[in-house]
Amino acid sequence: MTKPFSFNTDYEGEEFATFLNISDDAIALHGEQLVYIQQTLAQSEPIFGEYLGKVINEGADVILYVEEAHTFSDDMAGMYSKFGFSPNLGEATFHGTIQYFDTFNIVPHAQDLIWWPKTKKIYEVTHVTEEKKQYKLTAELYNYSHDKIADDVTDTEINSLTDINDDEVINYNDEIEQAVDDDEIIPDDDLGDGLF
Amino acid sequence: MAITTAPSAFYGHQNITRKVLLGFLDFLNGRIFVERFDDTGAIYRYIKVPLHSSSRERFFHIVKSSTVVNNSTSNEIELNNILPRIAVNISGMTYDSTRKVPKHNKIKGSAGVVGDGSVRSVMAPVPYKLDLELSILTKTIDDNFQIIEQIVPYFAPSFSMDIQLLSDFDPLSVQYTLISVTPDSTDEYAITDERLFLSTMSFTVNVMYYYNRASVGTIKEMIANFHIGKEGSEDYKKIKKYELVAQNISPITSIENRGDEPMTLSQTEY
Repeated sequence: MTKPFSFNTDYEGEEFATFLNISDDAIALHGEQLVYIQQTLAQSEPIFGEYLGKVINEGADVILYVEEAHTFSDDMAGMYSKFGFSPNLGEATFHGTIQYFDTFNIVPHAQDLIWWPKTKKIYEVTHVTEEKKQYKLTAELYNYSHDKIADDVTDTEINSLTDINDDEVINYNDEIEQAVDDDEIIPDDDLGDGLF
Repeated sequence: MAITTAPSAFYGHQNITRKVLLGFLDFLNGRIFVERFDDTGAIYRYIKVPLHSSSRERFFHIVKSSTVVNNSTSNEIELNNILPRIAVNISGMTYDSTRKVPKHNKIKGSAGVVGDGSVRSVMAPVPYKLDLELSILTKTIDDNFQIIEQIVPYFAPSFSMDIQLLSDFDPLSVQYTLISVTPDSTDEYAITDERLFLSTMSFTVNVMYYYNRASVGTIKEMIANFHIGKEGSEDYKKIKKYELVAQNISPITSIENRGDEPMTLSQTEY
């Protein structure tokens, strides 16, 4: 019986290259348009080992295969759990071949960001697994901690992150200040300049 | 049937718990910042830390489902957490018998006689200890320690603040005491988990809860009835002596000076 496709299986490299090319094609067909953002980590803080001076750079347009991304609402998550599903909100797994990442000069590692324009979500890579010449990127919804955004970043959505702190302070802290003023509960000379 | 008026003369609350919590949030507001560094290690920005008033569970719920909408450019980005942030939660209330005062003491308001000619007064308050829990959620342990170190120096271990708990009364000193600080010490994480740092600070607050505030009238007229014995008897002399004293007491003089009706002393002879 004749096989519909035949590869030269004698040469392992050839076979693998074919496998990767098919993978690339499949990802290009079924993958999602994403923006892969690498962060400049600079030098880590010597004691705690944290990268305090992280800078978010301009991203690269890539297509990666999204294995799973749970986007159910809270109510839906509760409902699905009754049927044996356990959707974890805000988690996603992305796949791409190493040769595909090489074309962008990207070596993915934890703390990189993935901006998914279609869902308006930013994911942060928490773990990178290299398996069969492919990267499997485990990612969670981004915990934004007011990292610096490089000046050359043109993406308006990413740049709008810089306004978040102001919005939050208006939402919460200014409301507290207003409530204190309305209730007139603290005398003016109570704390002075913060001295006790 | 809907009740639209105060159910009884004894009904009332003073929103004291809210005011104590609000006072604490106000103390923290504008005091807590964290530094942000660029890739050269230089500080380029100070972040004012947002404050929430919520239980820790609710606090997580809010940040986990937060959606940030930037109205200025109509861009909508969904994030998990926006860090750092602080949440304050009332976690308990216990009666404090060490500060108990006699039940029937009555406290008069500092505003004196108010518009309707009455004086505000309350019965003796009930002492309580209020437990506050302050949670600090940050992405780095460095941020966490920055915030803790900005709060701790104020508490040695107590910090008192004057808060207007009752209107028409003097502001009352409310004492906040730092009990414990528990930095995040979790060390068991899956390899794919991202680590966040959650530290907890516990405070107790000495609070007095007041019964319903009441208005009492001012005394403008006093009628003193004396039982007069026969003239020349022992009783007669004693009572006469009291009468002389009563005529010279200061309230009579002060009321006369204000132009109100003078106190009347009437004598009834039996």
